[in-house]
Amino acid sequence: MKPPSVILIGFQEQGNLGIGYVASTLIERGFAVRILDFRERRESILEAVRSAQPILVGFSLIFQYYVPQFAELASYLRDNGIDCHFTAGGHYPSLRYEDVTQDVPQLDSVVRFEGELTLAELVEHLVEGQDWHRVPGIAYRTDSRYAVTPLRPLIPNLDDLPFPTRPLESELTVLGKKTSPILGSRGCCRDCSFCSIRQFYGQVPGKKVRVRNPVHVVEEMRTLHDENGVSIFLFQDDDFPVWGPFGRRWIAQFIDALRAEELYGRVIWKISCRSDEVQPELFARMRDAGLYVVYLGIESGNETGLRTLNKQLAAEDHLRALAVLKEVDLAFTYGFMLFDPSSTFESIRQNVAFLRRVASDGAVPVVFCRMLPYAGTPIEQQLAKEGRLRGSVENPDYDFLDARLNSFFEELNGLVAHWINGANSLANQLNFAWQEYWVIRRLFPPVAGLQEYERLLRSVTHRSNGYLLDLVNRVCDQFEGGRGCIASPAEVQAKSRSFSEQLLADRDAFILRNQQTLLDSLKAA
Amino acid sequence: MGNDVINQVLRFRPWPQGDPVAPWIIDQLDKVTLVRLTEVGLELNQAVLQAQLKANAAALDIIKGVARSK
Repeated sequence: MKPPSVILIGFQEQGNLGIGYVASTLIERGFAVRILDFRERRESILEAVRSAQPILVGFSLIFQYYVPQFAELASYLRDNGIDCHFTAGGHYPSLRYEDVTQDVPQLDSVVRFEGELTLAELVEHLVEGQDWHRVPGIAYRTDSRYAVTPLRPLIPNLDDLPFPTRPLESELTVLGKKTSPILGSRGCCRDCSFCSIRQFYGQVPGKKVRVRNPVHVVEEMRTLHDENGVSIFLFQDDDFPVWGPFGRRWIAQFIDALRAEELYGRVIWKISCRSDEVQPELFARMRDAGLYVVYLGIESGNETGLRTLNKQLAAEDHLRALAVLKEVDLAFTYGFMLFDPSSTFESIRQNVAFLRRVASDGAVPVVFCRMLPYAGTPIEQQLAKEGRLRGSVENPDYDFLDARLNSFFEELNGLVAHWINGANSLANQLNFAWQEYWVIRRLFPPVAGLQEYERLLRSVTHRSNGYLLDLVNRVCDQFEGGRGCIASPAEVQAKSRSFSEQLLADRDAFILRNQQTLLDSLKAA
Repeated sequence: MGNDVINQVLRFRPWPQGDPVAPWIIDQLDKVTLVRLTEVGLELNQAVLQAQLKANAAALDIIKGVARSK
């Protein structure tokens, strides 16, 4: 007999581990699961759902600003005769189930917080024709408004979950080397005011930070290496377990397991952590075991901004962490919110000066964004209390204290959005070129002219950073005091194109010179 | 020198960045956003056409110069 089938719809491009864990849990319980990418044509999604005849369609709603689009898709499926159970899961529906059940009336239920066990139980109830309204961890609409069932505690032991389902072929590669997302832990014990992770886990009974057995993590890496040829692992932990004595022990066991599984020196990995967790001796050992790039949530370079975001770190802490990473020869990337609710013209200038220090050696492109008040976060509540919250559920926004900053942000965003955001943006191209550089250093045999190529990369990164930060200051001057003249979008785009052309010319010339060495190494691997 | 001589595997393919957007979402954007997107697109076209015009004029000058010197 054909097993009952379930369709999960979400963003797949960046390796959606959330859907992957839900899918593998369902598969382990005997259900047939098909994962569809939200960006596929609606007609293709409809066709796939029709042919699978699922008992349930689950929508993975990671980004709250896509609620209307998911609602539109759900409505399209319903209009075309899909009448099975519709549910949604993810951070946003977990925290705002009232809004979601109202905004997406086609949903029969919402799966709240960790979805693996709840969704599996919901599907089991549907298959067996039992009343699903009492499954713990869900919310649903009723005639009067909505109903919620008691919360399901967080999964105590993450090692009880099967390895997540992944596409057979990794979409993301670097010079032919395959990558895969992976998790070592869930949760974060900090409480940054803009982040919904703590709100997500904090409302549910159970330990807020759970760490997998490092031996199991390495077993998963070994399987991906052997079966899918993955050699670059991208840890997506909210905060990789490197904190305190516990972190040191975990890392020691992780490194021992890498040796035991013969992955030491054969794979590389990326982590995200906080600046106050970066220690020279520990990170040097991790580097030797394959760590090659560290993502730091820097977020602000001025003390008021850091306090507003409740980072519990000083700007100097970030600079110290970056100095350590450079000293132990590790790459880094970072998140930075040039604008936050406490922003003033002065703080923006301080942030620009800070970014100049961060990126002074041209080893990393300058990137920044504006803090957005996501649902359920302390900063959202604070802004609402101050009457500054505006926008809509799917597009939350706020007013700055100085009204001129609203226009300043709009103007700057219009000028530099294409520079920073999107696959073809200059910042993304520079980041990727640096990624390739580090992968060549760590996973390929020595190639000729790498040092000279690094110098060229630094040069173009340094010059483009200088232009971008000068531009921010110019726009700042204009909006604060009407001084100076702002570049036109066309001028900024032309500048971005010229840096991009320079980068690609240097990159392609270097790759071409070493093509045979690189291809021979890929063949031998 | 360009991508045509670089092996397929080694070509420059930056990863997607930011939130992926379904192509049909464009149907749902409000008028102000659509107008702004059109504006950016047209400005980009304008910049490209201006650059091409400049290159065209420079090429013509060179060719005419060469023709004159012959």
